[in-house]
Amino acid sequence: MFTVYFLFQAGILFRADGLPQAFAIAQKMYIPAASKLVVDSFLASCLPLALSLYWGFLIIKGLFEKSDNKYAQSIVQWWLHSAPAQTVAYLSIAIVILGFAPMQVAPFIYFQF
Amino acid sequence: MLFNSFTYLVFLPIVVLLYWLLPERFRTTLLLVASYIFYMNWMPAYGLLILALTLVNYAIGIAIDKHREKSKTLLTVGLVFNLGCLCFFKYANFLADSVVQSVNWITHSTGAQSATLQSPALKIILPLGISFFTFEFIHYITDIYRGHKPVKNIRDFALFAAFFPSQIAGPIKRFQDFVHQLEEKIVFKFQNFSDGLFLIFQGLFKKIVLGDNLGAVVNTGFSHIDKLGMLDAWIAVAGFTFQIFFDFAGYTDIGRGSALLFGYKVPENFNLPFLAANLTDFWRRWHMSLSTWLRDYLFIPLGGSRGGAWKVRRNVFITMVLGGLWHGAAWHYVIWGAFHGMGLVLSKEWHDLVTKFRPLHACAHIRSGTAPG
Repeated sequence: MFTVYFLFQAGILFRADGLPQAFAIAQKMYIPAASKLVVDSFLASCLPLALSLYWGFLIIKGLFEKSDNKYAQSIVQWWLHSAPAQTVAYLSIAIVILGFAPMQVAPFIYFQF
Repeated sequence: MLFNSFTYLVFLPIVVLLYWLLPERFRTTLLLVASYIFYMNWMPAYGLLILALTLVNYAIGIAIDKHREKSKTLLTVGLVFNLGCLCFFKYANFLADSVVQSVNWITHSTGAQSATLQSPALKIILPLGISFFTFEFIHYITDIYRGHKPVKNIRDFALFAAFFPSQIAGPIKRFQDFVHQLEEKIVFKFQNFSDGLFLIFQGLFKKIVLGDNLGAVVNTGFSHIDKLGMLDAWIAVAGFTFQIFFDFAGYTDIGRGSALLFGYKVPENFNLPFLAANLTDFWRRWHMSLSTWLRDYLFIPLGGSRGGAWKVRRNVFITMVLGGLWHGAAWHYVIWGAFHGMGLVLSKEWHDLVTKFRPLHACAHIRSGTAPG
């Protein structure tokens, strides 16, 4: 937990336009005040659903990879060798991506480096 | 050309199709041409830059291997050339601004001058990916200096430098791993193709759905700081940490997936970094190709873990500060690097302390759910 907390603090320095902005937002994290702007923006976005989908996918993938169950293994083998199943799955994912994509697609952050 | 652009959506299937249709002897050339088209699509003139850097580093690599007695001088020339290019394109504006600001601050605080100097407007556009391919070149000439054999085939070396799936933002490749793959016979495997597509779609989901949507939320927070409540600030800050992960991990997945479509493997960059036990462990899992580069070509040459505790901590701190500066030409990146350097030093101190006091050590492991060593 402390590592993640440290990363959040370091992230402020990385994201801020300069030190004054970094200090201003760091200060806001420790002064109790009613929250609305970002909370509403987060809840109104597709993020709660998209993050749930992603974590659900990671859990299922992990379970299948670790499972010794022969039915699970046969599903994995079927998936790995079935071009039609993969085509359908990837087309579905493409539709999900297009559906959840924000209006403005941003360039990759690391492109600036 | 961006991985998440329509142009790339057209470009990649064409190159993949041509690659597998062409006879094997033409495939490397096709990838090289495609990589230059990919790069020059953004700014054609900078194709010459990557070409010039490739030719110079290729020549230096050969020269170091041929004239071992002068290898140190040749390595120095190579390092100065590569770092000089990086500094010119990336840090010239930053250096000029910093010097002008310092002069203004000194003259104003001493009252020697009332007029304020203006920063010179150097119109230098940062070439995409220069930080990444410069580090690959430095790795190459340093490894040749350390005794590795140089790449003889200039086409293979040029592809190592320009390979489009990893050209703009890594992962930072090692020539031994990459050129070795070029020398092997690549055959079409459905498994590679399937894994590649999986990585590409996973990367697109991470970048577009998670990263970009998080970016919108984070931008709302960072552009209205005065209106933020406590929870708003926490969500904006936490959101950015995850945004940069999804953005960069998404890029890496698309790059690795694209490379697999041609049958090539490029290194992984992330290994569940947010599950790290501590900060040292985090840097073993986050941007791994950069972390290992910094370890091999900066931390170890500085002295690494040799010498006393003070020297080791100093080396860690310097490595992280320079790592911060590598990320961007601005003071907040330097401070970000220093913050991580300080964190790593304190993390090491804490580890030493808990190791010294065994009962406390066992307690720490019970809390983290691991067995004490």
